[in-house]
Amino acid sequence: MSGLFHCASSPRVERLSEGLARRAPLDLSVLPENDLVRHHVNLSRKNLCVDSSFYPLGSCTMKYSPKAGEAVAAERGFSSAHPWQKPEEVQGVLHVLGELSRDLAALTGMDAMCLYPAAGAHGELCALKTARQYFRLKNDPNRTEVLVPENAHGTNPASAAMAKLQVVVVRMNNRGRVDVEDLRKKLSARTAVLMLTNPNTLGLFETEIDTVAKLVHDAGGLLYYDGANLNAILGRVRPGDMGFDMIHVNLHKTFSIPHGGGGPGAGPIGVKAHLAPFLPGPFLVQESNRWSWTEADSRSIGRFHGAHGNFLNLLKAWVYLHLLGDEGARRVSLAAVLNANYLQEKIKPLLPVPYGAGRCMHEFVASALPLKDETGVSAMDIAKRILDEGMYAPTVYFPLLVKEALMVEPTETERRETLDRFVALMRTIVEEARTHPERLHDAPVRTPVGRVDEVRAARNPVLK
Amino acid sequence: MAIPSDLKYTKEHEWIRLNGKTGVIGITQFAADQLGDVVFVDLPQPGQAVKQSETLASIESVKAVSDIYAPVSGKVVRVNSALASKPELVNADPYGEGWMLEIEVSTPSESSSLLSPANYEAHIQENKS
Amino acid sequence: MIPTSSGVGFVPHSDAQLDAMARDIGLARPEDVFSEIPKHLMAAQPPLGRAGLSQDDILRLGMKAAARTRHDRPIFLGGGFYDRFVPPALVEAILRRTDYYSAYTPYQPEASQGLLQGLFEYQRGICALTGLDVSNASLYDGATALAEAVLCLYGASEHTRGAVLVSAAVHPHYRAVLRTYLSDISLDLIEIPYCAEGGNTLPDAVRRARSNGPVIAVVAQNPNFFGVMEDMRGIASAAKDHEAGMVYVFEPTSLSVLASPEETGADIAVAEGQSLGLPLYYGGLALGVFAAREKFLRRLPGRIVGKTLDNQGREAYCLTLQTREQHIRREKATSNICTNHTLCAIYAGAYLRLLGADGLRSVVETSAARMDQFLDGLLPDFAAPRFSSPSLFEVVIRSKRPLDHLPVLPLRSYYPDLQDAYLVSFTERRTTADVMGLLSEISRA
Repeated sequence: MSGLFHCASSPRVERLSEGLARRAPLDLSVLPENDLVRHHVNLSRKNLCVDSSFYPLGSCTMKYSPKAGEAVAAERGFSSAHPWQKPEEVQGVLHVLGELSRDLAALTGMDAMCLYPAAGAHGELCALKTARQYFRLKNDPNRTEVLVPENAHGTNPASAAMAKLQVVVVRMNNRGRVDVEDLRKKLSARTAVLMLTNPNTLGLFETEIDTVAKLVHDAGGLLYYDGANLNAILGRVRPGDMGFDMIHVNLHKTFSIPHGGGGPGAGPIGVKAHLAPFLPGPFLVQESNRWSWTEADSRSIGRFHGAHGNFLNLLKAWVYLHLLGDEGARRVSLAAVLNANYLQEKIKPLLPVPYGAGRCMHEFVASALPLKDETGVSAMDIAKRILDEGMYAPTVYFPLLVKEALMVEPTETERRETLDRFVALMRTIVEEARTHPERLHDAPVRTPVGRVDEVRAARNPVLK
Repeated sequence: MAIPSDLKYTKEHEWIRLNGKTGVIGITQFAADQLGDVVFVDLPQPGQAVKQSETLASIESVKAVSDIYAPVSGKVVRVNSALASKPELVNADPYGEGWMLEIEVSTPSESSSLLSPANYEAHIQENKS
Repeated sequence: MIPTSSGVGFVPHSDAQLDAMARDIGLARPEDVFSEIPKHLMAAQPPLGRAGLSQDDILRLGMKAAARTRHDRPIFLGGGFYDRFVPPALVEAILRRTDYYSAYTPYQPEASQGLLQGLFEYQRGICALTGLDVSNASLYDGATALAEAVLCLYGASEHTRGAVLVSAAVHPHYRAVLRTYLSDISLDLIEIPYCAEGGNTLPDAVRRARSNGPVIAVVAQNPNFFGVMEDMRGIASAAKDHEAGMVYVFEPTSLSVLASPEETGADIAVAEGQSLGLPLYYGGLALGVFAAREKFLRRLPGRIVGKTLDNQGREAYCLTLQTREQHIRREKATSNICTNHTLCAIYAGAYLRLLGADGLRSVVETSAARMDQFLDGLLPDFAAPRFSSPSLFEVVIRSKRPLDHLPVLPLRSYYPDLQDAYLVSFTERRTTADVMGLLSEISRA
């Protein structure tokens, strides 16, 4: 044994009864520490990441994560805090959670926050269950429909289904916004919630949001803000002021915490005061400068996480918001949207942007459809070719409203020079599609592996 | 694109080969091409009863799922177990070895609602434009 | 004033550069990018009401807040989160490795082979540990993993309503989260009381439980919340009598010595993976572990990594069986989860490879040995074990005097019948001196 800790033996373990003891062999493919470190350092190099590459992955907001967050997180008082320590022993931890709640509420225009959800989808489910409970206790239990626009993230309908709510799809108009007439038709006494991303998944601001909010509220429903695209309006427009009753935010997007290769994330939710009692408990409260937990009453939907949410990530968001301040927050949205508009205008001559007549917000969706018809080169081919140049690819084939979609989100932390480099690469790629299409079909060739056979993986699953 | 003349079709791109009281069902070449490489076919248990237009099975590619609807009402009598290990048969031979299941037709009159090969071809052309 | 090298809001552009970019695309000024937003929606005042801090300031503020956590004495808190030794090699090579943590979900496999292989090795490790056929690439935490397990069994059953039998000795938070998840679904949650004397769950009590509809799932935890080892084979056999699926909630290191979920007849096994050497972070670096038998493969929640080949015939990895997931199947998805806990999962997979079966056994044995020392030294005048069934490395004691000032977990808020009871947990990090210290504190209480 490697001497990781001082070992002792216990007769209790040696004398475990037949029925309790493990009989099956246990092979865990052990590696010595040195080799294990090498193995993982070498594996980690087989990834593109924000700290190595431009990462214009639409709808994911792959901005730079300030290292100050990592430095604060390294503090032993945070890393060693046990979740069942008494409040007086973890006042610093609770202070961070309390301040973050206040800041998130202020930035989103909500009255109460719940920090438990571990990811955006977890937050969606939490918020929808909260809405359901609200209607149930209002003796209005037949509101079981969730309206989602047709270009919504797939999590919206999946979360609705988990809360046993029925999904009703609302059409988009030819400007890429919610079709207000269709919304009017679909609202009814069964409507619980309209889930809306604003800016939406085409990167467009829902300019008729006032009308939308009024229609939903007049029908007795709640308006839910999917915070996936909050980065575009940070510090400028607050969902609460747009009429939204509830919101989830993805801390791993707008609030800069690293994505962890796909998590852990954090997806706090916020609500207006009339929904606050229904949030999961226990609630964090402050009395004469002392923070503590207090159990929720029976109106709450109940617990939603085994402990108190992903504290490590909540902590990094706290750091980020202190670094931003108001000026920083407004600078974030300004540069995120300006970068996206700059890129949109530069990409337009190369690839059409079907809904790009006006200003986009933090992202835009280009289409490779004409190029594919002309050359046979698809959005996926383009994405793979971009990887070969050491950049990550835009999101492809989402949203479905745009055929051969390439969804580009540069974020605010990229210099103009980087954007220009991306444009130059796209110009090269579009030329190549006409002169050497095979180069795109064969791409990538400079990544650790070539194009991966996903069909084979799905037909013959090898999972361990 | 192959549209065999001895089959009946649905707007949802299923075909059925009626043979007295039973019918063999699959998806059309057009549907298979649209879906791309088929990786999994989820078939019902023999004995299951279905009504016309109800979901009968589902078929998956890497990034899409399509439901297969019953062209007519009936009871499943046989499924193509070869698809479990060779889902690619649906792409390679959609009207032959890529068949999916056989049902015992309970309401023969329903077959009048199915599309003829010519009507199905017209339906595809309409969808393309 | 913040030095321009980082830029306000980590925006690298100067004002002049913003102006130039705006002009380049035909805008008079940068703010014109917001021209489509109705004016009256613009925030009237700065929402935070404060300026940004310097990096130096926030580091100082962070240090001050962290210093308010009490860690001047060893803790004996467990209950799902354990003060395990955190191997520096894994912190350096994984948790703080930017090539891992600053990447996104591996949707482009060619540029994400490291993450994918790391997750694949995690899945392999979890399958080895549990003996089960398939593991997903992680969920959020143990409690939500349990809820997903029950929903998975529900989805796989042909029933539209029914009941879930849960031992009252399952972690109270797990039961609470499960109750929340089931609150809008036609599944009744029925708690099976634990044996008041033994602190264990009696298979017969599970077998005798009656419900209005079919039993979809039986849930038990081993070692249970009291640290007591359960008769998981017996409980699984009772589940079988109900024709229900069996969910085994486990503590990962314990499976180096305890019968694996597969051996006991469980269908799905879930765990909080923090105890695979992850730092505590107030329970906020959690890891939902989820493994199941093959027959549930197409009903599994969350991402799964598969091994395949690239176009040159080289070994390669990718996300697979994605048609289960929300981005494809939307409202018919097996779960809404997308972001999982990749970084924690890769870490946990590496922890298993660093320690191996022998190392995990040492973790359990050392923790158990400290509990042995504690029980040997416990004087009946002050406190005694509450339950007669054997524990593994956590034990409930009944104390004559309140012990709330000590770093042990009072149980009265969870179990009204356990007013004077405390859960005392041991890990490999506790020393003989730590145990002696706790014993003397108890006798002084």
